[in-house]
Formats: sequence, structure tokens, C-alpha cells
Amino acid sequence: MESALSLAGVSKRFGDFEAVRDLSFEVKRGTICGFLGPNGAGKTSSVRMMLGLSEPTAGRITILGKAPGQSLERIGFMPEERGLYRKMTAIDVIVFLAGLKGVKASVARQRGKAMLEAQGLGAFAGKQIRSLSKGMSQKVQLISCLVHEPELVILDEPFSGLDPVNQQGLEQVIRELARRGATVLFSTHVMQHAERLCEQVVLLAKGQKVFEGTLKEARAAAPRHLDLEGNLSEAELLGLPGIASVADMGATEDGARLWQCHLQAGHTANEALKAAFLRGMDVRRFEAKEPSLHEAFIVLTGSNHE
Amino acid sequence: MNKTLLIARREYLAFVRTVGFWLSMLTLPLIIGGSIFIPLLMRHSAPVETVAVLDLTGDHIEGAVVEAIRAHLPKPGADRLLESGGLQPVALPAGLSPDMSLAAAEARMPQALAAGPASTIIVATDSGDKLHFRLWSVDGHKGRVEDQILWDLHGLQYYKLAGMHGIDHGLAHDMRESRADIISLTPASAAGPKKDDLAAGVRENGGKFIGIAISYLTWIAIFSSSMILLGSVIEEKASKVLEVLLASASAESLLIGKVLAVAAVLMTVWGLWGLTAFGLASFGISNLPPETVRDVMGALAAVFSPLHIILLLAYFMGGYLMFGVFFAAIGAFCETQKDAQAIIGPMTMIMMIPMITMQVAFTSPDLPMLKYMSWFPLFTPFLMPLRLSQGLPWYEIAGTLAGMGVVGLIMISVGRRAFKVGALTGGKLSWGALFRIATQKSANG
Repeated sequence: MESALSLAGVSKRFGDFEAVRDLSFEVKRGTICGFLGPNGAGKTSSVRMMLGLSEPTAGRITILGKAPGQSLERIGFMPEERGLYRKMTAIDVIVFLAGLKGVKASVARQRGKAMLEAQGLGAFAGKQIRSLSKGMSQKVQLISCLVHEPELVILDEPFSGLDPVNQQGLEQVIRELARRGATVLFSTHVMQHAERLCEQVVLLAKGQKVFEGTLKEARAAAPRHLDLEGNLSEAELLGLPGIASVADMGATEDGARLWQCHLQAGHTANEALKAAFLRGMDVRRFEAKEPSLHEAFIVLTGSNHE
Repeated sequence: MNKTLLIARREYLAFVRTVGFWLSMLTLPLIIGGSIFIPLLMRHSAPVETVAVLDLTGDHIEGAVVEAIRAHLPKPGADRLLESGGLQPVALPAGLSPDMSLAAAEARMPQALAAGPASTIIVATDSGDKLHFRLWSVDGHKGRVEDQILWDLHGLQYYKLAGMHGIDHGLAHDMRESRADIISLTPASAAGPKKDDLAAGVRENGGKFIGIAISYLTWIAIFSSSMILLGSVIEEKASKVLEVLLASASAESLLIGKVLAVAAVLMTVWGLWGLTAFGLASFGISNLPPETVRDVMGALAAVFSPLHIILLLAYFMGGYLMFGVFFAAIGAFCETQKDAQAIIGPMTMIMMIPMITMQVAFTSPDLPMLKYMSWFPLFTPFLMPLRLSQGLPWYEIAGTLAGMGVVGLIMISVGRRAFKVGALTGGKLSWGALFRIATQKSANG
């Protein structure tokens, strides 16, 4: 299947500063891709190059089969720094921006009203943007980005500034977009959203791609844990098969200790547990934990982003 | 709808839907109309002054004074619109007679004025070689009669003195009315028949007057519309909407759309102001003799040939494009007007240079220095409207238009890049940054 977005060896330099370095990845059509990275990783610079807002210093970008900037009508974009005409009404803003995407005013007005209704903003269609709350304005911005029914939706930090309820609502919108066949690429530095939404993630750190793959593959990059509770010593635990390192997580209520054991790659929690019981170790509670995307991210980027 | 036109339409509606726009648009016509009509209406509403004459000279000059008063009788109908109330001679109030002394007459004056019907009584006396006129008026009317018949009363003194020196009254009248015939000529004006002073004036200096007026108008229009453009872009930059727009339309569409919108706003303003001017001119013309109107219209038509109008528009559009695009691009770097000051200041000074030359240019529009300056594209739109009135060779017109066109295209190219860079960055604006944008090949699209 032809990819919706393809970057090959893309770099962006601002004077002496290299914001993006040799970035390559593809996003398949109809998928949700998380474009992850800490602040300053080069996500916004990359998104701007994808849209043709700035040109790469090197490399090639293909978006919906064309060069950046040549298929803007088929793309929906919501920038990190949101902004709308404050003196225009919500529906007029939606109709105007849809017009720039080639949608007839009558069609845009009809769709815009329906989408405002769906977002609980039907009564605010005729209100000026400046009279709306920040959350309402962000919803109007999202509708403006989707009203022309784009094939590819690029959302730059879409969850920032939203309360938990609206974040959940936005997640539903993104899932619905993918369900009807649109491709969604969203950048974020909050891993939980990506974890809930994405099939594919691209991790960026200091302008470079550090990972591209599925969530499962991303998690596999981080060590799995085996939590063991009891009267256990560090030496005993390190002697178990497959244990790379241990961390003392502190005393428990009944005077025992909780240990977090990091498993070596290729080894399972079962091997270590089996050996612990065979050796008669005082294991009162155990829990095998899969690493979170957050943990994988820290390992992959080598930093704690939050 | 084309994206550029869509952007232009939104911008235009955003401007004209504001109360401030209509207030500022109506202010000028209201001020001009008011400054013309209010004094007229005030004069028109002035009451007719009733004037009686008490002739104590013994020379029987009452008739001459009454004749002078009759020359200012109220005019009927529309003819009266431009006139004040006028004068109406009335009979002397009871108690006053030509055989009483001045002191006795003046002692009775308060009662005589209070009894009516005269609101002013002219008391004429003679001291031998000089006539004396004492104008008594009811309170609040002092000076109204004097303003209107001042020179007629001086005339009576003139004829008295002539009579005393044995000069025939008819001759004295001719002497008083006599004027030298003074005419200023140029070969061009001498070639045409001289029919009327006003028409000749329009023919002689109309081009220059109109040229300088259009130069000033062009400057004001370009400067004010550039500021509007700047403000509009700054507002969009501050409200973070530019990035959204650039993801939907090209920088060219945004820039040209904005420039078109402000041009349309300008046309709307000019349209209303033009209608006001037309109305005022029609009113003025209706008060001129038909032959004068015909001649003035003919002379105006000669000054305002279709080619002349097209050239004036071309220079205006070229200037507007150059400066409008420049200021719009500057706006993309700024989030407040204060941010823009570093660039606006020097640019405004450059724009001021041609205006400083205007005073000299008006008296000597053919100065070589002016010619050279008008070839500098940034000055062209301001100086050429004035120079056009002198009948320029075609190569000067074509050359200055081409220079302006080239600079306009460069401005669009650089402005497009600057606009895009400015819209997406939060960097400070400087001449150095602008120079780098102008000289970089095609980075940033």
C-alpha cells in the first residue's frame, strides 16, 4: 500500500543549529502514528517541512504522493500554537478555513454546524471566538482542521492545554478519523496518549529518529521488570537466571522488602521465578511487569522528558 | 473561489464591518461638508437688516446712501443661499428729522431704535472736506450693516472729494472703476482663446494643482494603507493564525489577498469621498455662470485625459504594491506595533523625502533634480503625478513605470519569503535579518 507520508534523509539546519538530522520514516495510509519526542526534539520543525511551510536543508518528503505544499487541500493541520480570528464567529471561521481547502461555503456551513453540534457547541456557532473559552476555541480549531474531510490529519501537540475530559474527547475524534480511513499523525511528548491511540510510533530525540515501529516493538526496547517482595537479599536476586540488575524499592508494611528486578533481553520472568522457588527463597508476592511506552521512551531517548 | 480572492474578501469584510472604519470614513466628508455648509447656512439664516438714513450733511446724500443699501436687498430663492440676510431701507423712525443737530439726534437714538422699524440708523454728517457716518444699531447687530456697505460709503467720500476739485461725477465714477489689464501668459496659454479667468486659471495651473494634490493623496493613501496592512498582519501574527493560513494557502496568496483587500477598502473610502466631492462640486458649479462652467469643464477635461488618469492609477498601484507588500512582510515578524518601529521609522523617512521636495516642485516642476529623483522607484509614485502635468516624453513614463514594476516584483519575491519566515518564527526583526532573507536564494520556500 502506498504510504501517506514518507521522509527520506530529511535534515533541517538553522544557521549552525541542526534541528532535524537525517530523518527517515513512513506512515501507512489509514493508520494512527505517534510522532514522539521531548520538547525541542525537532517535531514541529519536521511537521512544518511535511506541510511545505519550510524547506528541508537536505532529503526528500512525499506527502499523499506529492511534494510538500502540493496537496494542502487533502491535509488537515492543527498547529501547536493555536490561533483563530478572534472577531469572527465560530461558524464563519470554519467556513473560511474550509474555503481555503476548496470546500464550498454552503457545504462547509452545513458540515461545520453539524460538527459544532457534535462537540456540544451548537449554541455557540454564531459567537465570536473571543467570547469562547479556551477549550471551546480549541474544539473550533479542531473542527476547522477536519471540516474538509482530509485524507491526512497532522496534529501538533493536540492534547496540550486540554482538560482530561476534552483529551478523552479528542482521542475519540482521532480514533473516528482512523475508522473512516484517514491517516493521522500527531506529535506529543505525553506517552499515555500515544500508548492508547497509536499503531505506529516514531521517536525523535535531539533532531534524530531513535525508534520507528509498533508499540510492542517500542516496549521491547525497554527492560521488563519482575517485582519480588519478601526477605530477599540483593545477592540472592542477582544470582537468579536472567536478572540483569535489581533496585531496592523499600520496606513493606510487614517488614519485608520490595525489589524491582530488571530482566536481561531474551529471558523471561518465569525462569527467574522458577529458580527462586526451587531455591526456597522467601518470595511472598511477585508481579511480572511489561514496560510502559514512557519507560521505553526514556531508554530510547536517554532522558526523562517529563 | 480563488484562495487569494477568498482571503481578500475576508480581510475586506473584517475592515468594513468595524464601527471605527465607518466613523473614520464619514469623518472627512462630514468635516469638509460641515465647514462649507454650516457657515453658509449661518449666513443664510441671518435676518434682513432694516436700515434708515438720517442725513444731517445738508448735501442731500440720503438718496445715494439708500441706493447703496438697495444694492444689498435680499435676493429671492436659491440665489440667496450664498448671501447673508441683506439690507432693506426703511423710513426714519418718528422723532428724527434732517434738520436736528447731531447731539439731539443721538440723544433720541435709543428710543428711536427701540420703536423700530429700523435695526440700524445711519447718521451722516459733513465736516467740510470729509463725510462722517455713524451707524447706530440695536444690541447684537453692531457691524452687520457696515460690513456690507463699507466701500459704498467710502465711495461717497471719493465722489465728494472729486466734486470739490471740480471733477465731473461721471469721470470720477470711471476713475474709481478703472483697472489695468494684467495678464500672465505662456506660449501654450497664448495659443488658446482667453474666455474666462477661472477657466484660464484651470488651463494654466490646473495640471500642476491636480498633480500636487494627487501626489499628496498618493502619499497619504499609500502610507495609511501600508499601516493598515502592517496592523492587520501583526494582529494575525499575535493571534497565531498565520501558521494555520500558511498550511492552507501560499504566502503569495496571503500577501496579495491582503494587499487587494486594503486596496478595496481604499476604493470604498475614495468612492464615498468622491461622491461627496462630486456633490459639493455640483453645488459649486450650480452657482457659476454657465459659460464659465463650460470652459472650466473643458479645461478640466484637457488636464484629465483618459491616458492621464490611467497613468495616475498606474503610479499609484505601483507605489501601493511596493510599500504595501513591504509593510505586510514586516508585520509577519512583529507581534506588536512597537516591534515594527525599528523598520517603520527609517522607511517612513525615505517616504518623506519626496514630500519635502513638493513645495519647490510645485513652483518649478521641471527642475533636473526633481527629474532624477522621480526615476528612483521608491520616489516615483509620489513625484510622477506632479511631473505628468508637464507633458513628459514617453520614455520617461515607460522607464519610471518599468523601474517601479521591477522593484514591485522584487518586493513581492522578498516579501513572500520574509512573510513566511516571519510568520513561523518569533525572532526579532532587524535590517540585517531582512537583508539575509532578501539575499538567500530560495531557502524557506
